Amino acid sequence: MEPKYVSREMRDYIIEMGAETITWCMQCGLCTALCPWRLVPGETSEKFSIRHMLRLGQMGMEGFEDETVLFACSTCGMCVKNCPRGVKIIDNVRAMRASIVGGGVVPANLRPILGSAHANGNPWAGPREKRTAWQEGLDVPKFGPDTEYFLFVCCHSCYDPRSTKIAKSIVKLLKAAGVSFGVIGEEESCCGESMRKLGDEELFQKLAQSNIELFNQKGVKKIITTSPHCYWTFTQEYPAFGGEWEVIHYTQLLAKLLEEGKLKFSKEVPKKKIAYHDPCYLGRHSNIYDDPRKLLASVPGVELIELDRARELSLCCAGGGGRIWAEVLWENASANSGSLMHLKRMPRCSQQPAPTV
Amino acid sequence: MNMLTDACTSLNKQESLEITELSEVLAEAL
Repeated sequence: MEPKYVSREMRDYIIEMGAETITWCMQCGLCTALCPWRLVPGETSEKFSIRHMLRLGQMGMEGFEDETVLFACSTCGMCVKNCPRGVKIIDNVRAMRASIVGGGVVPANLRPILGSAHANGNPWAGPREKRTAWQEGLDVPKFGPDTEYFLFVCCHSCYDPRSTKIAKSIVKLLKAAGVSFGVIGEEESCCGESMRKLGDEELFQKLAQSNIELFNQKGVKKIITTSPHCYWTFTQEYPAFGGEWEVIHYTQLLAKLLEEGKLKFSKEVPKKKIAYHDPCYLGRHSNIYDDPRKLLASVPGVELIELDRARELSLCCAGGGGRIWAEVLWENASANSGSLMHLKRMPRCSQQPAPTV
Repeated sequence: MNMLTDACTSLNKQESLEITELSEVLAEAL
């Protein structure tokens, strides 16, 4: 075995990039034991151990820069919630990525994503003028001086054809409840959450600054987010850059409207048993567990079922931390390859007595 | 949602398990 060398300079650089708590880690290994990658036998699981990665960072040792290691963490937060030393593990992962990506070393599959966010303000390679294309056929109000809420639609729902229905449904619900809301449109940029998690700090700050200036210039006071990731970023990351508004996830607002009697679900849906999957950034990261359940339970005909791992223990879908961009191609994946974390999630879901998740 | 849907398709579970978005279910019930 070749000797590995400790680099105090590298360690200091990682700390400088935001890993202030990396030295708190006492290497107990609870993080690795709880990491969802442990459920997924395969190459990534064999190579990636968050405990080991942190140790390499603590010592400034080479090895963490291997793409399989550096970009494996989906930032699900299971380790952070349970760390006995309160180590901000995700911040440390982000800093370790930034120490590599900040130097211009970006994996090939991430280059077009980051390039698009630089050029178009979104990672979906969609032009700015198409940001509002999802609104076709809907009369979506423009945000103005008299509008109460600014509806920030995640880039995912603006550009991914499979997800535009999310934004459309939310607009219908807000209209039905008589909420005063509006969108700004093509001037909006991505919240930058996954760019920061991938280690492109400069790009994140550029996007954040652009949004903060835009929202403040338009007189935004209250924001509704469609995505848990945008919600988390606006509430947890933007205040440090001067972005401070009242931010609410759409499920929180709808649950409040339901309680006030301003929203009613009167039509019975054909689906009976439904299990709710807690997204990491809404649940573990933001502690919003009950509002989505209250909403589902109020729909006539719905019987709410819990998955075996729900709420604080919910399993990650594997899309966080920029992994939505870093995944292997689907044609390379199979049920037996075990290369994807969410392939493990799915059989567990299907074992539940609910046909819908 | 799309990550879970893709996993479902990859495992040929789309017949037995439907993945949907909460907002869609709610909008359908209006």
